[in-house]
Formats: sequence, structure tokens, C-alpha cells
Amino acid sequence: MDRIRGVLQSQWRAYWRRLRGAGTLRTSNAGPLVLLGGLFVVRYLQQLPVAASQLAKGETTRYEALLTAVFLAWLFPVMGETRRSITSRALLHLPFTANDLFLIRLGSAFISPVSWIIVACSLALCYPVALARHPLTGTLALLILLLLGLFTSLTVTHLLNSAVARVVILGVLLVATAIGGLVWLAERNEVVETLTSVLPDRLAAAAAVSSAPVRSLAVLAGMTAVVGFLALRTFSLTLQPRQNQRSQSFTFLGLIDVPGRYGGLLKKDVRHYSRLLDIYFAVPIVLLFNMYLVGDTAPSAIAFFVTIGILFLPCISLAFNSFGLDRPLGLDRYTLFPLSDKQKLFSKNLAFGTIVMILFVTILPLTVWKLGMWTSVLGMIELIVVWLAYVSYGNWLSVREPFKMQFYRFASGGSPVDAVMGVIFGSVPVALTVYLVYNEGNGALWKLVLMTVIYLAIFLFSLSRSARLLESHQENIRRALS
Amino acid sequence: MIETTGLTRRFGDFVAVHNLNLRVPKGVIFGLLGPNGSGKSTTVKMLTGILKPSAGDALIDGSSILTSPLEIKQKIGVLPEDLALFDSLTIWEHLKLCGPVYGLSLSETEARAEQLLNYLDLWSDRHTFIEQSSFGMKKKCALAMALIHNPKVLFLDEPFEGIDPVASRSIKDLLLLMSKKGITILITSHILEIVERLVSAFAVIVDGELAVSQTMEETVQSGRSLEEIYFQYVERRVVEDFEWIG
Repeated sequence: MDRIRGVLQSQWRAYWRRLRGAGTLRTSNAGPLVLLGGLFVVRYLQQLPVAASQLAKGETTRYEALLTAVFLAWLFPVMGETRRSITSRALLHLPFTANDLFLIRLGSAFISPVSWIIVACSLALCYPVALARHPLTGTLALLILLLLGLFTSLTVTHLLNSAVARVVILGVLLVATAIGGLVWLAERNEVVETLTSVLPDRLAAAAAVSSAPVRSLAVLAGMTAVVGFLALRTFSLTLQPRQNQRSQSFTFLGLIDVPGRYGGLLKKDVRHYSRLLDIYFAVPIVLLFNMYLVGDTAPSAIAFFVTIGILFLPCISLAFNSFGLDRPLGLDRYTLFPLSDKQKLFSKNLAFGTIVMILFVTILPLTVWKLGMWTSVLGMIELIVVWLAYVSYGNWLSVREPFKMQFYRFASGGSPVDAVMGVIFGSVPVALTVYLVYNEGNGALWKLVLMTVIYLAIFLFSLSRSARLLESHQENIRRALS
Repeated sequence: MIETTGLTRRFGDFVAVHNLNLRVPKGVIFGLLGPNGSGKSTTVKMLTGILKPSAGDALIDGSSILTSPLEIKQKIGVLPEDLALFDSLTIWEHLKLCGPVYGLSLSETEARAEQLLNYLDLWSDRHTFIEQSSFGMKKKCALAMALIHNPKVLFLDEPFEGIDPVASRSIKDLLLLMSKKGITILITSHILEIVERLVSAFAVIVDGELAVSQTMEETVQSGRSLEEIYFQYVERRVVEDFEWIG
């Protein structure tokens, strides 16, 4: 146990040393971030008495909502983790068993103060449960649910290291979305009820108030045991050295030759960007919109324009932190290339545009079919303007406030204040397009073209300013990514 | 071809390179030698544009590193100390990325890449991701990237470290050929035997300062080996008896 504690202490020391090195509360808008986080926690705590009074009456709506929030929050410490100094594989040469390494892995998830807040907020749910009909089984179910959240995040994180598992997870996500979409379109509430009754939050709530609490508790415990076993098993698999996997790798991107000076860089960035988990939130959006187009006899063009705006949201980290997936060594290569700072930023902008364009293309055929060519052309113009808006803001932010992101993890570490400002800036063209098309129909074309010209000017100005900043901020970016 | 004047780099209070004055003529293979932490890599980083000098300047093929960094980057090829590769790309993709950035067409890039990879015995491994490659493979990939655009000046930071003897010999032969064709090569290395047989001039840096700079001809005339000159300036530790070992 002493050896495990020793490693965790080193992790702890490295984490705090790095955090201290980040500077003051003004750095990366950490002050507003703490303030916003504090407000969120206060708002959460305000919900507890409401949930308590509902639970006392046998109602579970608010409690279930809080449980869902907490369950999702428990995914964050592991799936958004980018700052673990000592990886499990780096400890393989030391005399640790796989179980020891798993314990170190579990312990490492609780080094960041964000995880302490999540733990504290989760345990605060004991208060409403205490007033429920079955406080003992309710509390046990709550604790088991928290463990399930942690095990789930660990299992998914481990599985994401495998290419096959990633495809399977994406497939499951698509199938689940399709089923959800079909049920929603068919308005079959009893099916929804049956399907959701085995969700962990429903089970945990049922253990506190239902007439058969032990059964719900047992199902939840069984589920947790299975996921816990999977977490340990998948963890052991990730410890296998990757050297055995050396292969003549086949990739779809490898088949495509992108011409031009930026071709290789573009391919590299598209591959990097496609490995950020955030962007996969766009997949259900695309699927649901396609289902809406097929299922609705007269789909709304406005919904199409709004969906284009929504498509950008899961991808904002790519625009606002365009160097986040590079490593300091990769930055060195950029420095060695005979490319100006403007060209480096522009190649990143193109990669972001390519990702969004791929998403857009998946809704385009059905849009042309159901909404017509003209609406699709207007949508394309909107897409370009919104892209220009996001990269105009994003270039500046990418240089000023970079943060490290990791493959197959969610982006974490950026300032939500900057993100919200950027989303507002990027959503202005969406609102304008909706307004213009709604009021002027096809006559909106010229105004949309004018809007494109204005945003192009803003983009060129931003590119030039950000490129000038990039040179002086090179070292900061390198430090942020190390 | 390479001329530094008062080149200096400070990191806070620490002076990594101090007032370095070097001159490397065209077509010469020049060895920059020194112990770990002496400032060799920092010098290469400054000359190749990765680091900005705190003071001084350097001219490479007549262009200043301060005023014409892009022009210089177009002319030089670099094998950096840390290789500066992208984990997520294959060896082949690295070369295909690199060529067009230097203005080569894709077909020309592919033709040159094939020739280089065959020579460096990497052709059969070309579709291996860098993260799955051995250190030697990575180094050869970075070397091919440094050569693909036919640079006028080549900077190689520890090119023989982690390379097997066959590849090492191939690289040495290639460098000699390039030198004969008028390409200037600056290498840093700890392997004095290889350097001695390869370079036509060398300099030793100790604690960021130039200790000695001379041609191999001068070395031969002085009747001493490169190793003897090296150890004249670099202190060697006498082995201790570690009583707890064994």
C-alpha cells in the first residue's frame, strides 16, 4: 500500500506544481471559471430541498434529474483527464500487479479539485434520500450509482484505446439514437417508460421510494459489478505494450491525397480532430435531423438553418483551441517548416472547416430532396459564414488561451466564459440567416452574400492579428501543451 | 555558408550559449561537439529557427536568422534532437506532408520519398505509425524529411544515436555524397569515432562557450586525435569504487 501511496503522492505533487505554474486566477480566465463553477454548485445545492420534499412525497422527478447530472459529472474526472503525469504504462517496469496499477488509476482520478467538488455534490444527495421512504436502500443505491459512474467512465476510457471498440461504441451510439428517434417520432410513451426504467438513475430513485426497493438495489448493484469487472478487465488490456501492434496500417485518410501545400497538414489535423470525443455529440444530431427530414411530410427550412448552427457546437474546441491536440514536438515541426504564422493558423482553420463540412454533407442529400436545392445553397452559405465567425474568434483564442486536449477524451480545461462568448459570436450569423430567410425567403440571398463578405473581412483581420500574436506566444502554447 | 556572430541564448539567468562565433564554409561537414548540456542543441535550435537568440545573429547562405527566418527554413533541412514527428501519422504520410510544404509536387515528393526510404531500409515499414515505430525508424524518417527537398544546408542533431551499424554506414555515405555535391552539413554527435572519420572541421563547446574550432587537417598536422583534443577541454571522471554494486 505504501508503494501505491508513493506513486499517488508523486502524481499529486506533479499536478499541483503544474497548476501553480499556470499562474494566477487571471490566467486562462480561471477567476470567472471558479465563479461560474461556484454559481453552478450553489444552484445545484438549491435544488436539494426541492428534491427532498418531492422524495418525501414519493415523487422522484427532481431527484432523478440530479442523479443524472451527478452520473454524467462522474464521467468527467476520467474522460476529461489530460493532466495525469504518470501513466499506468509508465509504471509497468516497477514491481506492481495489475490490481495495484488499477488502484493507482482509480486514485489518480481524485487528484484534481474538480473531482472533490463532484464527490461533495454527489454526497450531498444523501440529504434528500434521508427523507425518502427507504433511506437506507436509497443511500446505498446512491453510493452504488456513483461507483457505477466512475466504473463506466473508466471502462469507456479504456475501450476508447482500441480502434475496434471505438467503432463499436460509435455504432451503439448510432443505434441508440436511431431507436430513441424512432420511439420519439412514433410517440410511444409506454415503450419509452419501459426502456428508461432500467436506467441507473431510475433504479437509484426506485430504491429510495418504490415498493420493491431491494430489487432495484440488486439490479443496480449487479450492473455496477459487471461494469466494475469490465473496468478492471479493460484496464488490464490497456497495459499491454502497443509495440506488438506494429502493423502496416490501413486508414481511409491514407487513401486520400489532398493537393496543395497544406494537403498533408490538413490530413494530419483532420485525423487529430476526428479523435476528440466532443465532435461525436454531433453524430446523434445529424442522425436525428435526417430522421426528422425523412419522417416529416413538410420539414421546416428554419430547422435546417438552426441545425447547421447546432452542428458547430460540439466542434467549438477545435476552433477555439486549434493547437490543443498537437504536442510540443509537433509544434517544433511546424516551426521548422517554411510556413508563416498566418499559414499555420489557416491550415488549422481549413481542418476545422473540413470536419464541419463532413458533418454537413451527411445531411445534405436529404436536405436537397426534402427542402430543395435553393434552401440547400442558402444553408451552404450559412455554413461558410458561421465557419468564418468561429475561426475569426477561435484564432485569437487558440493563440491567447491554449490548453491541452487528448485523443479520445473530451476537451477540458478551456474557459467556459471564452467558450460562451465564442458561441454567441458564432451564432450571430445563424440568427441573422434565420431572420433573413424567415422574413425575405429567397430574396435573402444577396444579404447572405453581403454577410459573407463582412465576415470574410473580419476573418482576414483576425487571421492577421492572431498570426502576429502567435510568434510571441509560441512558448506559452508549448508550455500549455506539455 | 554558416556564420554566427556573438550568438547567445539565455534562459532566465542561465546562459546556454554565450557569444558563439563560428564559420562553416560551403560543402563542409562540420562537427559541433561537446558534453551533455554544453549548448550544442540550443545552437542548432537557434540556427534552425526553433529558438530565438537572446543576442547575436547568424547568416545561413547569406540570410540572417533574425530577418529572414522563412527564407532560411526553405533552404535548410533539419534532423532535430527530439525528431519533431507527429505520432498519429505513418512514415509515408510524414514524407508526403513534408514535400509539398517545401513546394514539391506530390508526384515528385512520392518519387523522392520512395528512393530515400528504400535507401534507409524503411520502405517495407512505410505504413507504420510513428507511435508504433522503433527509435531508429523514427530517426530515419526524420532524416528522410530533412533531405526530401534537397536542402542547401543540413543540420543533424545526433544523427547516429540509436541507429544500427548498417543504417549508420548508409547515412555516413549519403552525407559524404551530399558534401561532395556542395551541401553544407552541420552535425552534433557524441560518437567521436564516427565524427572523426566524417567531418572536415569541428568545434568543441563547453558550458555554452566555444572551446576550440579547427579543421581535421590541422588536427592531423598537430599529431593528435580528435578524441585527445576533445578530452583536453572536457573533464573526464575517474571511475569510483561503488562498494554497494555487485
